[in-house]
Amino acid sequence: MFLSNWHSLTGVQAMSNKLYEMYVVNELQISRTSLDYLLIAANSDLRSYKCIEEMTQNGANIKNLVVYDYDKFRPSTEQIQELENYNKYSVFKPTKVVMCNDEDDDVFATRDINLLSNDKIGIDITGFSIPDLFRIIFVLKEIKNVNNLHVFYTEPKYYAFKNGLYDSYEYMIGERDTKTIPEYFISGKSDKEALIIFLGFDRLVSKVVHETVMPSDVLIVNGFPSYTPKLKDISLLNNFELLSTVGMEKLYFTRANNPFSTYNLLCQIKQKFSDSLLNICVLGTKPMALGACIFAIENKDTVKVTYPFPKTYGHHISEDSSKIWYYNISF
Amino acid sequence: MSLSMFENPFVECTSRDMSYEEVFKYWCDPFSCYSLNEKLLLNSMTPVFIQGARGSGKTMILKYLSYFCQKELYIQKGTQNILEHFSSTGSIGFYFRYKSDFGKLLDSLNCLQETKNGLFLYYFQLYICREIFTVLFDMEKSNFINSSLSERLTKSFNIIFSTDEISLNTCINYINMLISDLDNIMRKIKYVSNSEETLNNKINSKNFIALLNKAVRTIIPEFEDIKFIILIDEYENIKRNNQVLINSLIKQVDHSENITYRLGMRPSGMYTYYTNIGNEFLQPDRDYILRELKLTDMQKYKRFITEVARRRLESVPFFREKEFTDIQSALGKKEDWVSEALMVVKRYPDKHFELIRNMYQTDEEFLKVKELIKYPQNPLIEMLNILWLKRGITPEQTAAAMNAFLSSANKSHLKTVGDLAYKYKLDYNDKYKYILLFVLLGKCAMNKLYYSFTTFAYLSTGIVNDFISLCRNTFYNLDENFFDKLDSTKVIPLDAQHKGAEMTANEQMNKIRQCEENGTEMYTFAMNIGSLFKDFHKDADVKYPETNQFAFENEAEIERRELLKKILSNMLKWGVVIRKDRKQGITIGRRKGDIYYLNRIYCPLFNISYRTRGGYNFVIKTSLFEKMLNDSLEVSNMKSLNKQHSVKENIENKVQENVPEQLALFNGGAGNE
Repeated sequence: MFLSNWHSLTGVQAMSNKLYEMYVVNELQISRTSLDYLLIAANSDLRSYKCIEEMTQNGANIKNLVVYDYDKFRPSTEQIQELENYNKYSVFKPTKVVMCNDEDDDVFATRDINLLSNDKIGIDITGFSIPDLFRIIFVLKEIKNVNNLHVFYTEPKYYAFKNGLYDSYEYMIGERDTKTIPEYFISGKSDKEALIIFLGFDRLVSKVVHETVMPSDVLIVNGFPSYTPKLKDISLLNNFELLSTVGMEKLYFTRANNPFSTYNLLCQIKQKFSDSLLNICVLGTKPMALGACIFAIENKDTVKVTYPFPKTYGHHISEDSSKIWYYNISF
Repeated sequence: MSLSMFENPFVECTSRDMSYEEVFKYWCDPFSCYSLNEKLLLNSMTPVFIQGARGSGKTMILKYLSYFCQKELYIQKGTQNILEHFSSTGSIGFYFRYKSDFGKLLDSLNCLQETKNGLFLYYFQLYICREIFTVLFDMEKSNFINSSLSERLTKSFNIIFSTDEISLNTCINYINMLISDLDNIMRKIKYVSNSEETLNNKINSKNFIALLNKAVRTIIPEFEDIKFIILIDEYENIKRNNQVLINSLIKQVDHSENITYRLGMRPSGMYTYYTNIGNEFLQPDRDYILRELKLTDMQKYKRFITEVARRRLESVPFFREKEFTDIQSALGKKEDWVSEALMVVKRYPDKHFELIRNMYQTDEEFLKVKELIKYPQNPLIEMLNILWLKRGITPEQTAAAMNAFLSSANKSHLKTVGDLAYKYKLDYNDKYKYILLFVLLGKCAMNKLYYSFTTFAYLSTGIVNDFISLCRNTFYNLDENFFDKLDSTKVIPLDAQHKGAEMTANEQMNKIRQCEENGTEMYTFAMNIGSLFKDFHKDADVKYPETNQFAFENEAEIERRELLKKILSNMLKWGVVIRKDRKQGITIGRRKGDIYYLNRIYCPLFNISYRTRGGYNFVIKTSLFEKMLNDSLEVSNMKSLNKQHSVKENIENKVQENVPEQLALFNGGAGNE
């Protein structure tokens, strides 16, 4: 199955004159995968390993597997099942395991990997946190001069709502420090700042981000179509506080699993808010984050990226896995 | 129904997202409400700090003082020569909002503090210079200054910045280029091996603002004596080390440079008084003036928020056409406690009489007493009778006092009727009426309704944004039926108002736990102290009516312990608790100290009174404070943990003795108007 960016192609053509490639991978495609490097992040959600598992089983050619083992995601020894899931990455015999105990361990390790700009680099974004994804792609593009990335993402089958209640989703736990991701800092050319929030499920986070950033304008983006139909409504309900504060006319939509749809939407927003600094905060899906990341890198002079860094991340946020997506990214 | 659900007039449009034109359009003079002096703010050479909680209107005031708003004001007044008008005012304001992310980024840099300081000051200079040239460019576009002056200003800019720009507009671009250049380095600095050197090579320590001020005063004749007022919003976002630098600028303000400052900050937003000028530190009233945006006069505040709401309601054609623009009429002026009590009793008839059932041996005796003290028209009278019985007054005396009170047409002359009747009047009207409603509700396991304009005014504690939030959530609870036959006299249903108040309270409480510093501790404390107050409000003996304030047993100890001090400071900064201005006895018969209360916006969560009153306050031992920050506690647990503290055993007696004084200490509320 091959999907070019069909639903908003004009946006792409108008802004960058590029066509993008995304599809749901099948066994045949997996078996033909050949990469110099594949970067993955350890996670107790098993879908984070589904792609590498399929690759291993189907004889894909991965020369170097780099696993980022984040302290913040590592379950405690009491969380026996989660810890067991988390440690499963060793099965795939990684070439390098990057122990990320301090804030910049991951980006410095990425900088120090001996990869060449024309190597075939793959990254499975499923297990990474959104801000880490932004930072690592920054290093690959801006420091290592990589111009092409093969990105994989495994959709969850269900999200884990505590007690079955849709408003009990907890990915971010405890206090949040809302700040700019340093690699995406920009002062802006005036005091006009449009905050673009991609909605997630965590209650009140978007409202707190809005109150911390205090932009001159705000745009809210919901994932639609979402992975499953009800998710688009759950994200609206869980962000009621922000929506009711700023008004529904600020609401936009983008496909939850299509980074290019996000990219195109941001292109349109940029045209509309041409004299504003665009401050992007992705609380939604990883494909949304990927699209925003490409856009931010290509628009350094007008875009900054903000994230509400939580004290702790939830360990078990999704159940089972669904499709594996492939996105080809050319900078 | 012709109103879209999206046309909520209270949907956010705060000063932070308003353009200068909008600030002017929505401007409702807050100066008298907060006892601020506009002339002082526009003229004083001494820097002024404007301190207020989030949403209290600091940004609105600072933006109002800026060139762009003052310009609109002068145009509106039909002023011919705008420059002369600025000249006669004596100042021109440049607004600058210090964003928290910049401070955090700077703080996270892996370089020497000296380099960070240099970088901070250079950025600060560039941001302000850009604003100065944005103002000058606007003056040029508005034909306030001619092309010859623009050219001279551009030439001066070129000399100061060693460049060769051709217009005021390109000067702005040049500054933007310098800022962008710095931004680029900041983004990649952690990946650069010689970061210290790279940064130091970029920093320019010239005092650009002073040089520009001198140039402007020389070139524009009307501005010969003009003061530059740098309006810094969100001073609390400036990290401690960088506050030292701004403090130094404030310390150095004098007439030689004609540059001064107005700074907006939250309570406890000043982390240090130090400067980098020898051992000198900032001294209030000498180096700066502090003005607090605090509620000093409820009537003025009510007029102010009525006007704020009117402008919002009028901005929606539907409400304008229906003349539904008076928020006081829309919400109803005040709560009706008796009606609320009647609703409770209708649902649970005679339940409140159970409070005295155990006092009597037989049903017959109980029923006889009940008959004596019954007054079905007003369950709060019955509740007072119950209280009197519980306090040992006989049923006959109680009934006689009640009857004297009820039959006296002119209740102000009740004293002549007899002492008990007078006491009854005092107890009912001034002391217990409101708390008895809480006791009645508690007995029937029902919640207090929060509604009416006065209640919303009190819940918002002088914070305009909180009042807007209460109105916004109330309007979200209205349905088509309400709008169908809307006219200017229609009152919003009580349950819609109450739901709105609850939604705001919930949202504010849940947001606390997400605060970046001590969110969990602040949330835990607020929930604990709220539960404790709730318990006091349910006490059928009404030992400590409407207790909703607290103090610390040992403030000095909290001050000494860094973590506790920091958390308390954060609670004040985020408006979780509010410290009263005046030092008072920490509770009856105790030493003077600071009194605190839980932000009234949370009252609907705990079913507690929004009024503040004198008398008993809960005095917290340091050890209990620590526990209340870290653990979710049962009320009984909190009380027993605090038991050993030195609250005098005769408090209860003193409460009784102090009745006349307590009456004077009531701070308004719906029933007292």
